[in-house]
Amino acid sequence: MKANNVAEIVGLSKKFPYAKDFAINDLSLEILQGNIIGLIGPDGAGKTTLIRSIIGLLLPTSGFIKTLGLNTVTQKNEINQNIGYMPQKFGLYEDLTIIENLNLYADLKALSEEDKISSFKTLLNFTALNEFQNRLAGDLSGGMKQKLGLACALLGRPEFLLLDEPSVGVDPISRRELIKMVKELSSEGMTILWSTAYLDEAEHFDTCILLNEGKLLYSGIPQDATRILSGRTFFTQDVDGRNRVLLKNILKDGKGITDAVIQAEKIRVVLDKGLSGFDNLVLKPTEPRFEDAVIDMLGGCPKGESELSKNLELIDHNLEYVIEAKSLVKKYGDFYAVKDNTFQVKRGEIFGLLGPNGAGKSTSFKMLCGLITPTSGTAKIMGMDIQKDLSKARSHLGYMAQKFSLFGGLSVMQNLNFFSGVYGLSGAMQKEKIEQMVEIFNFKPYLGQNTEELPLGFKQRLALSCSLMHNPPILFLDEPTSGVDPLTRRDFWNHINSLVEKGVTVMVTTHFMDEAEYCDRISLFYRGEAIETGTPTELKNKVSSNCTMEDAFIALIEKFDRQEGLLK
Amino acid sequence: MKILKALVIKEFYQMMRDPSTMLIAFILPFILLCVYQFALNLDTNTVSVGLKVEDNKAKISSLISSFENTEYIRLRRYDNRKKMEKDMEKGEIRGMIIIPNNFSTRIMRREAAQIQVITDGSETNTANFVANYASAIIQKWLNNEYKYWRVKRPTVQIVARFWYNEELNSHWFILPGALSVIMTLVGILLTALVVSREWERGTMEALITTKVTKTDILLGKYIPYFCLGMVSMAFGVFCCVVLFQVPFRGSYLVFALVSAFFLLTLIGQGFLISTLAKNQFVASQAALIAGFLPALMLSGLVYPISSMPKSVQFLSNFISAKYFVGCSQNLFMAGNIWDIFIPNSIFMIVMSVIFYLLIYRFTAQRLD
Repeated sequence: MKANNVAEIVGLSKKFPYAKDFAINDLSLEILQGNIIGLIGPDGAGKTTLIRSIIGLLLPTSGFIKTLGLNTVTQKNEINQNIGYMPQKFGLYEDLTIIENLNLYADLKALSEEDKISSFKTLLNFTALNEFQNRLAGDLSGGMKQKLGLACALLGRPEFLLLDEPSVGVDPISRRELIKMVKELSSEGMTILWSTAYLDEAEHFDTCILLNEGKLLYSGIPQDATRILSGRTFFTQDVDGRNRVLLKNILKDGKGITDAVIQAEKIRVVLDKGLSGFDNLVLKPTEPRFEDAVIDMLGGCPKGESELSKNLELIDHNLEYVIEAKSLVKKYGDFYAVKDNTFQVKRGEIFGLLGPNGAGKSTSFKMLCGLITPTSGTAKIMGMDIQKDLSKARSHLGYMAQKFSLFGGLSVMQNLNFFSGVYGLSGAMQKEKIEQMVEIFNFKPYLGQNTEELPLGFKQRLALSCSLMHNPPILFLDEPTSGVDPLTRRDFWNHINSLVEKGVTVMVTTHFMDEAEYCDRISLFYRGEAIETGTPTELKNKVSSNCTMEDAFIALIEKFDRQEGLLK
Repeated sequence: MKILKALVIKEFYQMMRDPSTMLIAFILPFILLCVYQFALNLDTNTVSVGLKVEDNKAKISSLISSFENTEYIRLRRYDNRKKMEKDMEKGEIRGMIIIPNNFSTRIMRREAAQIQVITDGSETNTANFVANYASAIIQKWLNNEYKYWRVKRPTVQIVARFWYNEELNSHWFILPGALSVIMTLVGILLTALVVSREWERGTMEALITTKVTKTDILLGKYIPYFCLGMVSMAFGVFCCVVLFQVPFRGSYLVFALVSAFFLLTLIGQGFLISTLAKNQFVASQAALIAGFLPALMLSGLVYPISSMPKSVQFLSNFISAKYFVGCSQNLFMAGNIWDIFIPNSIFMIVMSVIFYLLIYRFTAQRLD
């Protein structure tokens, strides 16, 4: 074993039985010791397969891997002694308490009693879980589960820590804490491999491995990759109110454009190599980000116009506010999931609900679409009280639930048939609508396939098409892009933008701070209350003029905590 | 050892905290035993039979009282034949016995006398019973009264006594047998979901990256569920003996031993299903189809194995419930009969070893 690598991968290929393509295709790579290594790439790029192969959970179809100098095929047990691994669902026993989970994993790793006591103390302090020791793991928030999963993986002081998408479904505050913890571990000499679909995490990594379709696109220091993009990244001027139209125009033929995304009232553009301007846009240079480099390496963002809005026929109305919440309260026992939430959403607006896990976003959401009865207060959709005219109000709603709630055992076509059916379409109209959706979203090659076998991005598109079957003027999206890669996310937002241009009103909850930039207005939700409401720029300006949305989010929540502390 | 202990403790915690485990282990057997006790009845003493006597000679009154005094069937006297037929159509009576008006005259003349017995052929067992019973009573009556009628005494006499179940209480053999079917359901349902649950929740993936060995994983599952199964079985026996008053004549120790072998086959079958399925829904379906249904059909509890086609009889050899039905019914009603226990136990031990080896073979420490 060379002193400075923890894994050596040579010509690794992995093909699953029944799969058409290789999950990993002829990959050679060395993972250096003492670093935080980011493993990034779109869904289905092979990230999880690679991690599992490195620790011997999967056998290579061809090629070989040496982890910590040991062969993964023959020496899996020896490898297990020196690694810590946190799988995607954290690997926790939900019906065991925090301390019982720790005890179990400590025994499974054969820690001595003294080691157990000392490492529990350190880890519980490290993860700030000390006071919750006797809480069941199933009752923890996403962020706390993630920390407990990390603590379990850290038992026995492994040399090499592997985390598979530790930040999916976890709010920015918990993410930031996790990164801090991992950095501390790394400074003590531990090597950490962290897979993620969130590119903004990349700046915290020492090196990055970018995978796409099982192949290695880039391996190296993220800043090196970013630097190549310098001189190609720009902001447009303030185009308040017209940002979506402008983006649509930029992407229409997309020539010369590598990437374009809405950032509050501006659009951030990455130009193709060698270009210094685009049409007659006034562009101001800005610093490149790692995300720009990744999009560039992946071949640029999806272009063209969304076909979605073309066939949309909305009912005419002259209401100013299509969604209204008046002092909504939801109480479970003594606990206020939502206390006194009031807001109005204008026609054709994207309204975002942001907040940490457990803040009450989903509860508010569900009260607005009539899935939960509020303890008090009223919710109105298109001027109708959802409590009184439930089915009528709902017929104006399209709802895309968390994790997409499709029927995994049904084929794509059967899902389309079912959802168009429940939304009341039948006969020729149903057939026509389904055909439209199939064409717009390119479902044709997948029609017969079982939905659960589809990549995440496809499920997301299918869920969107299902919620749009009845031409709803209002669309509710509950964490629509959780775990979805940046390219698919851009594609998704192009569709959403085109709908909004047509007059559809969108309400969305999200963990992605860059996604918050797409919103016209944001309500920052925390402990069941809307602590701030405003445009993305307004919220950012409350903290400082050039901070990111994530900085603003964290600062505002910390500020709220401090004020509450003073009041007490 | 320490690893195994940690796994066993973990499993016990999970068992205690999962209400469905307790539901399956205790409430389900109780409900099913109640169903067998109160809803299923193979006794005949509730069968009603109509009797119409057209012969009004005083001499045959002793025959009529023979019919009336039996405790095995309920007799209804009819004067109107039409009415009797109506009741038969309605299913209120299951058979009709008609003593024709020339009955005694014919016997006196030493001619063949006839009694008409009509039964409801839609329920074959009941029909046979009614027919046999009627002729038995007449035989008995003739036996006692032959001198009076001055006919020849029948040369062969059948004296029937019922061993082991003197009271002909069908629950005495149904409940011990049902225990076998019920425990099959409980044992397989409890275990079939346990391994697949770990795969679904992703905990197995974390487990197999620690120092655990296959044996740890397997025994870590076997031990807790074996203990739970034994407690559940004890509870079932308690219900039978104390609540439903079924006599228990064998040794409880022997019963515990045979139950242990039986449970090992069940747990083995459940874990095998669970290991192969890796998905809770598939596992529960497979548990019902591959575990419970064969046990119900082929254990000999409901349908006698000896009357099955040869090929099905052969299949029944692979149903562990069959071996336990035999042991359990004997222990309850007859006592310790080693000639039955030993071969049956050997079969069950062999089956559980085979299951264990199969599970060991299929338990993966990798994901492919």
